[in-house]
This record gives sequence, C-alpha cells and structure tokens, in this order.
Amino acid sequence: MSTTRFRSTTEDLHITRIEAAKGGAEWAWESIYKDFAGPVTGYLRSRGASDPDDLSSEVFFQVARDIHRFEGDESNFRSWLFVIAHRRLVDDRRASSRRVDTVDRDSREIETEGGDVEDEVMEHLALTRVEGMLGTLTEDQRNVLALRIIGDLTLEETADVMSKRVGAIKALQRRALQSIKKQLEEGRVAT
Amino acid sequence: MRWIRDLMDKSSKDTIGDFEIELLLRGTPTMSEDLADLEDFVSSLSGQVERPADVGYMATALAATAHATGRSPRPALRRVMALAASVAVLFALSGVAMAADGAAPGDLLYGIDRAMERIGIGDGGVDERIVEFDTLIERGQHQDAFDMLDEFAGSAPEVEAGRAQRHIELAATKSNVIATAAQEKVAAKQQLIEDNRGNDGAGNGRDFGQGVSDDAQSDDQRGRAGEQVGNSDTQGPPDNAATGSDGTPPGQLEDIEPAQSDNADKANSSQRGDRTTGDNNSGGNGGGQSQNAPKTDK
Repeated sequence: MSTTRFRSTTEDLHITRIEAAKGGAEWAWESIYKDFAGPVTGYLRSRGASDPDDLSSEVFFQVARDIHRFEGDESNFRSWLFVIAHRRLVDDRRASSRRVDTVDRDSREIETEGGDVEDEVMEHLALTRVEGMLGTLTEDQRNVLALRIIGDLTLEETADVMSKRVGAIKALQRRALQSIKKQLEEGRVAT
Repeated sequence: MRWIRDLMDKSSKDTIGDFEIELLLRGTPTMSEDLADLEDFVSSLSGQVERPADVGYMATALAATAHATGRSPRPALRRVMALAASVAVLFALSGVAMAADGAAPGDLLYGIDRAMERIGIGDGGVDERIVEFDTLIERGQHQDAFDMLDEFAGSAPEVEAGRAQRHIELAATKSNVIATAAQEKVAAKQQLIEDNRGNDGAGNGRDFGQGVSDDAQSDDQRGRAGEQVGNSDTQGPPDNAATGSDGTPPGQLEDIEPAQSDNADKANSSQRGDRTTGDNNSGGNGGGQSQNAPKTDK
C-alpha cells in the first residue's frame, strides 16, 4: 500500500510541474527546460537541423505558448514536446532545403572537444563513422533511434510521436540496430 | 522473397532479442561481448545530448510566455461565452414571448403576454383579443371571454373597439350558450351605438331606463324593451329563462340599465320613448341610475 501511495504522490508531483508551468511558474519551467532542452536539441541536431540550438528554443517557446491547451501526464508531455520538435524540424528542413540528415559537422566537433567520458568512446568510434552508418538507415529507422537514444523516450512515447503502433516501432528499432551491428562487424573486419 | 531474408536474418547470430534491444537503447550495459560495439554506437549517439545553457534565462522567458498566452485566451473565451449566454437568454425569452403571445386569460403565461404587449411586444390588438375570446368561449368560460373583450373595447381605439363589439355580437348571436348577461351587455352596447346615431327628446330616456328596470319584474314589459334594444335581445328571454333561477340576470340588468339611461339622457330616440310612455314614475329613478352610469360605461 505504501508503494502505491508513493507512486501516486510522485505522479501528483509530475502533474503539478505541468500544471505549474501552465500557470507560468518559473521553477516549473526551469525544471522542464533542464530535463528536456538537452534531448530536444540533441534530437534536432542528429536529425540535421540547420541551427539546433535556435530551433530548440523555438520549440520550447511554442511549448510555452501552447501548454495551456495540453492535457495529460508527464509521459504524454514528453511525447507532445517531441511532436512539436519533430514538426519544427520538418519545417526547418523544408525552409533550408538542406539535404535530409546531413549533420552539422562543425558544431559536432566543437562539442566533442570536452574532456568527458564520452571522449573515450569517441576514440573507438569516430563520429563521422556514426553518421555514415546512420545514413544507411531509412528515415523512420533514424527517427526511431534518435527519439529513443537521444530523446530518451520510451517505446510507447516514440510510437506516439511517430503516430505508429508500438509493434511497428519495435520492428524499426530492431532492423536499425541489426543493420548497424552488421556494419560495425564488417568495419572491424575491414580494419 | 522478403520473408526468406527475414528468416536468414533470424537464423544468423546477428539477431538481437527484444530484451537486449531495450537495454541497448536505454544505455544499460548488456554484458554481451557480441553487442559491445553496438553499445559504443549507442553511447556516442546519446553523448550528443548536452546540458542546456542559460537555464535561468530560458526559464524566466518561458514562464512569462506561458503566463501571457495562458491568460489571453481566457477573457476572449469568457466574452464568447457571455455572448452565447445572452443569445441563449434572448432565445429563451423570445420563446417565452412566443409561447405567452398565444396565451388566453387564465393561462400561466397570460400575464407575461399582456405585460409584453404593454411595452409594445407582440401586441396583437383586437385580433389577438378576438382569438383569446374565442379560446375562452371554447373552454366554456363565456363570462371571462365577454369581460375580457368588453374591457378591451372600453380602452381600445374606436375602430378596434367596434370590431370587438361586432365580434361579441356575432358570438352572442351564433352561440346560445353564452350567458344572458353577456347578451344583455351586447344589447346595451348596441343601444349605445343606436343612441349615438342622433335623436332627440331628453326626457324619454329616463322613461325607457325605468321601463327596463321595471321589466325585471314584468315579463311583458321586459319583452317590449328587448324588442327595442336589439336583435340579440330577442334571444334573451329564452336564455334568461334557462339561467334565470340563479339570480344573476337581474343583477346584470341593473348594471346595464344606467348606461342606457345615461345615454338616453343625452339623446333618446323618440321611437323608444313612445313605447315606454306607459311608465309614469321616471324622474327619481332616472337620477339614481345616472349616478351608476360611469361604473358600467367603461
């Protein structure tokens, strides 16, 4: 009983954050922005936005403008946030007529110069290679990987954002990972 | 051919289970050597996620945006709802008005009907009164019908009053179930009209009035008075005979007589005077009747 109680309390707290954000509470927006700005910007970048940081703040301002119309829990909110991000991305691509999924290499290089743990990973796997491998995937496969890995969405939330059934998302992510795995193995053999 | 490829994929060691996929995507170590490269790939992707800069500034700006846009639609919505509400009230009122418009005396909405007519809404004038009259007649409220239309005729413009009177007459002649009192009133009104058509001889009026008054006691005289007064009165005696036992007709008759005599004072027909000359004591009674006159001559 105590666990149920605890869960409902945390759910209440989540709802409170969204409700407070609707009312224009600064602490709520700080919490939301801290949690989601990274994933949203990362998602936009990985999907080839011309200026991911700019586009990300546009996304958040749209969220702030429309939040009074939003109804749902924390999970719904994440899906909703990424739906907006995805729409913005599509608009951005259309506007800049960039080639789909061409990653902004300059910003990527600057970003990886930090002395984080990730740097060690980067030694193994050059970013250019990651991009190259992503480029072999289909649009939907790339989108699923970006939403799940960078956007940190669950299977269900990803299905919501892409307006697909969970089964379809499962199939997409399996295909994508198997394709990447194959390329990695082939690459190792080659090197 | 696709299913063959799928089958081959599955049979190969490349196949990754659902559970492993979930671990991979969530960045949880799979503890599988086979998937180590894939883990690296996933972490290099998730490594793209940076900590946001300017959180404080953005929080303030977003909060202000949410506050501003969250507020503005509400007054607009309130205005729309207020408008909708007033439209609904108008519709409801007009509905009541329309319902009330057809109301007859005694109906729940009749008061509203008349009240609205007084302020100029749905004023049917004589037409509406006639409809109401007929409604009441149908319901058997003959006295109410008569009173209502008579009252209307008393305050209505001449043309409308005339129409009202003619309708009363018509109803009176058509239907013999209308109370005798009503017929007497019709007779009185008709007399009034006749009287106004111009004649002379002031004194005879009192004689006539007294004559009618005396008629209340004498069937013979009453019959004569009826002949003069009008055709509707010819139906009077039978009706009177039918309803006579309740005592109402004499009372009504007394109410009516003064009106006749009052007018007779001003202008009387010599013809009628001749017929009523049989009565001698006219003076005192005539004066008393004149005093009563204003009550009935509404």
